[in-house]
Amino acid sequence: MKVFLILILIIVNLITSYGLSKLVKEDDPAIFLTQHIGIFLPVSKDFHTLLGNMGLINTLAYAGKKTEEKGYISKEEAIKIYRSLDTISLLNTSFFDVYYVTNALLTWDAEMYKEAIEIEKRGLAYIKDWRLPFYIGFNYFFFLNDNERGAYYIKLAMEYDKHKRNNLLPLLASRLYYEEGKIDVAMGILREQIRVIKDERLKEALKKRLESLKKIKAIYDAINIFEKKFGRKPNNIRELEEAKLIPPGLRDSKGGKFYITKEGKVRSEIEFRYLHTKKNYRGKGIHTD
Amino acid sequence: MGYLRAFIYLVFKESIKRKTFYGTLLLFLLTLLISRVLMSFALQDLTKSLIDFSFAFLKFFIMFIALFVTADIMADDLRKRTVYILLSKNITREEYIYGRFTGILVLLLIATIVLSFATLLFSYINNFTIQPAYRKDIVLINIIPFMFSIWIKSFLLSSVVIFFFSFIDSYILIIFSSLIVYMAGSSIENIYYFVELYSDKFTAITRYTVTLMFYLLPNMSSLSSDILINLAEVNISKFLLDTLKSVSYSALLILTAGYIFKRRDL
Repeated sequence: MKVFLILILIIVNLITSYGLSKLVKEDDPAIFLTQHIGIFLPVSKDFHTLLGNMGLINTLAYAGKKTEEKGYISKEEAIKIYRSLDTISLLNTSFFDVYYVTNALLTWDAEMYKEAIEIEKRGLAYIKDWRLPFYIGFNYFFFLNDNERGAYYIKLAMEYDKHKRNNLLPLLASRLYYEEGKIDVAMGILREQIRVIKDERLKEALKKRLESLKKIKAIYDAINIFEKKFGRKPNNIRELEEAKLIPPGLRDSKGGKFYITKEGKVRSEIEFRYLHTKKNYRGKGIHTD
Repeated sequence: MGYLRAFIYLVFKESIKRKTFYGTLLLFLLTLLISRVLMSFALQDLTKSLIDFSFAFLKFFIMFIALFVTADIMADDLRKRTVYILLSKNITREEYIYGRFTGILVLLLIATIVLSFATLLFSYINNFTIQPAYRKDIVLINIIPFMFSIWIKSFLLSSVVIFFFSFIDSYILIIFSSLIVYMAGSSIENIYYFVELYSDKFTAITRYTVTLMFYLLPNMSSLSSDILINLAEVNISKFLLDTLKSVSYSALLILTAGYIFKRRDL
């Protein structure tokens, strides 16, 4: 009789477990997202990193499930993901994956750039990985059109890089400083990198960019002299050449001609053409359910 | 001092005989394998994930051993009346408490060293299975302060258990009370920091209560495993102060436990 009862109980247990497993699958995965940091205050600090790791796995599962269901993440879901990642970044501050996922999920389609930057900046104090300031810099210049801050963080990325003597980040940093009109800073970054870089091919690329910037600097100087001399700004490069303020036929390192935009900025046809940022990006954008 | 050596031998012999000890070790090995599986969920920072999981499990098991082995040994002494046999061997009640504590201290030291090195070896080998682009170097020497920190906290927890044993009969109540002190002690630092940071948002009573708790409770949180992969540095002055507080707190508890146990009706 007892054996029979035990068998019955085992069968009941299996059936209820099966039923529960079906119901669990129907649960909204949002319940597994990491909640507000306040909830974790009474939890031992020794286990915060563990909770952060588990929270990230759940957040990824949530984002994956939502993307699989609809092909995109809605605004409401993106906010939930942001809150979860925000808490996880406080629980496990030195875990690079948190910032990697933040950048992947909160920027391109979710368009929560400032929120992503806020989380990523938290990691800067703990992780010396060039990708982190690079993400921040990229978000600033590409999505928020803030070249100056973008350049600052790209420069930081360049300094963090353990392969400092072998990277091309200064090219991007100098380009962003150029966009902000800070030609001297842009040239300074390149000169420093040329001094330390070991790879001859990379050094050559940096030298070419420096040469182009020197020409741009010369054109800007010429514009100032022209303005003092004629009391107006030059309409084009040819006027500067005719006034013998710059040598004729100046080209950038890729052979593009220089020109002056309506706003008075010196650009070139190839190397210093208009920088395409998020303004021109044709992404899916955020969806509202 | 001869009795201390006898107690160390006794605790060690008793623990080796316990099935729970081997069960815990088996579970620990299982969790190491689980941490290897969980690591594979990481995207870029695989070494960090491996270290986080495996060393968090290590801390959990050391604390688990400290709590249950201490409570088991002490409660068994009363249940099986071993305490009477020991006390009849020309040992005072205070010496009994000190002896038991010293034995547990040594047992925890051995357990911490063995399990820490097993975890380190496991992590070190697994780290080589990670592709170089996602791998971080493990700083082997940093296992020493990390291990020391866990050991300090584990015997602090043991002294809490012995303190409760000195005046509580019920095994469950001893475990429950010690667990509460452990949980409160390991989170008080977070709460204190939080309350201090947003002091203007809390009433004076809350702030004073939290400050009082910060002073009264033992600090149970140990060093972060981030030091093993150079993501954090050991704050020497904090580490030394914390160690000093833990050791003195533990000594205070054991002395008080001896004093209470001396006057207890057995």
